[in-house]
Amino acid sequence: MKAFVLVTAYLGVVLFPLGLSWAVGGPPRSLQNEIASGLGMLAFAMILVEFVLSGRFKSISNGIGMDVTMRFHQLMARTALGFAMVHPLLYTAAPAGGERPWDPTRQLVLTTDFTALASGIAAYLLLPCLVLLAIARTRLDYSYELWRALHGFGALIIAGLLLHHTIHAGRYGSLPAMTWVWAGMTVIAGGSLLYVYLVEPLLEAWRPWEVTEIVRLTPKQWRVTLTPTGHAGLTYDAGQFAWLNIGHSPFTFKENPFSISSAPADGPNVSFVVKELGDFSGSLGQLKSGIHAYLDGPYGNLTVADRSEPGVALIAGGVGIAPMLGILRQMELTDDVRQTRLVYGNRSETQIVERDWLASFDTTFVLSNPPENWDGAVGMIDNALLDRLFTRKDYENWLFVLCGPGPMLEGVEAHLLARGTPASQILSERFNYD
Amino acid sequence: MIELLKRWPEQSRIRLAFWSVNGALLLTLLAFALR
Repeated sequence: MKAFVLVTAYLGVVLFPLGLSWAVGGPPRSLQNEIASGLGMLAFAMILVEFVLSGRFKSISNGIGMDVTMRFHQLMARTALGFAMVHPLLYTAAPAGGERPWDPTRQLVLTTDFTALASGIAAYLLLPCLVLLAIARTRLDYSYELWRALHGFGALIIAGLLLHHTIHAGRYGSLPAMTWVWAGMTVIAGGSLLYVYLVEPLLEAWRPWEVTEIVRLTPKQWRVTLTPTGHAGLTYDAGQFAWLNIGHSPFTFKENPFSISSAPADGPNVSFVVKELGDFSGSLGQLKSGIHAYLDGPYGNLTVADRSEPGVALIAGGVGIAPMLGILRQMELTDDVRQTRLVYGNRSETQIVERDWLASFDTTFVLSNPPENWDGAVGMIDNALLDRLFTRKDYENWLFVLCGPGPMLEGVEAHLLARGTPASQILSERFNYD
Repeated sequence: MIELLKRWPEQSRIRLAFWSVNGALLLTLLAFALR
């Protein structure tokens, strides 16, 4: 339901400038010219809404998941790029070469003002770079922090160029009412960026944390525990995640999203299970206790707190176990009576975190590369394994919480749906959504 | 319709939203251009 409301709101905002141009614009021109202008307006409006979609706004992402809003952001960027690229190619009219008193609404001519066109040409060249660099990000060897800075400021520059182009070159955009609308929408878009990179960090600066524990759980996974400094801590639900910044100024791009592995009932300390990757997590071993940290959160919809299903199935792959640790801990501490079953997949035995504690629950450990004496499940978390663990009644009535790599999530989700689990009883969170 | 959607995987529902939005945008654009 929330997704439907958000899609409708998205359409309303993106179509608003086009609709208003329809209402206040002059007489229509040729079909081709009107499509050209319409594509330009839609592309610009979509680019501006992209700012809000990618911002960390809980009212948008919580409930449907930040991974879902980010995927929608990525897909709509492709459409915006397509519209923008086609927009100038369709125009057919005589160059204006100055004002023509007999054509005050510019029905017959196109602008030839170089500065108005130059900003459009610059945006035309920059936009494909922005989108293609984003699509190829994981294949290019540049850091996550550099990518965020480039993407955010690149988008802001493009929005500024497009505003200039639209209100100076656009037949509709140059109308006073439309100029105000475009300027207002651009300010809101830029403001959302400002909010994420300036206001949020300011709020974080007033609520600092201290790293009080760093424990190596497995050769490549660490538990990092933070203690609030001079404040009550974070209000969150078990299973949510937060953006973690360790040792840097709050005004930095050096922060990464991690699932919270502690439980609210545990007290104000917050723990994360962090896997070493190519980013800052690769240097976790060198971190010292006492270093300052900042948190932005909580985000995410991977929570079982307000659910009424009689059973909770937790299905995790690799470091996807982190939110499950928090959920299990919270259920344990609050004497939750719901039945729980954890299915936890890894490649090798050394990758299993908190093994002894997890074994005290109804847990099935799954290894794709098991040692000789392994007595758990072998292979992947596949349909056959799930059918051994869950009955038809479980499939239909339980809540299924999934966290792990994309292929695992897609495989498990497809099987659950085929076995009769309603989509509303499947919660999932992907690692990669940025 | 809603019941049918509940049987769709999340990624398919995102793609459905994407194509529905694209369709709505193009139809409105056409209406604007043909006015």
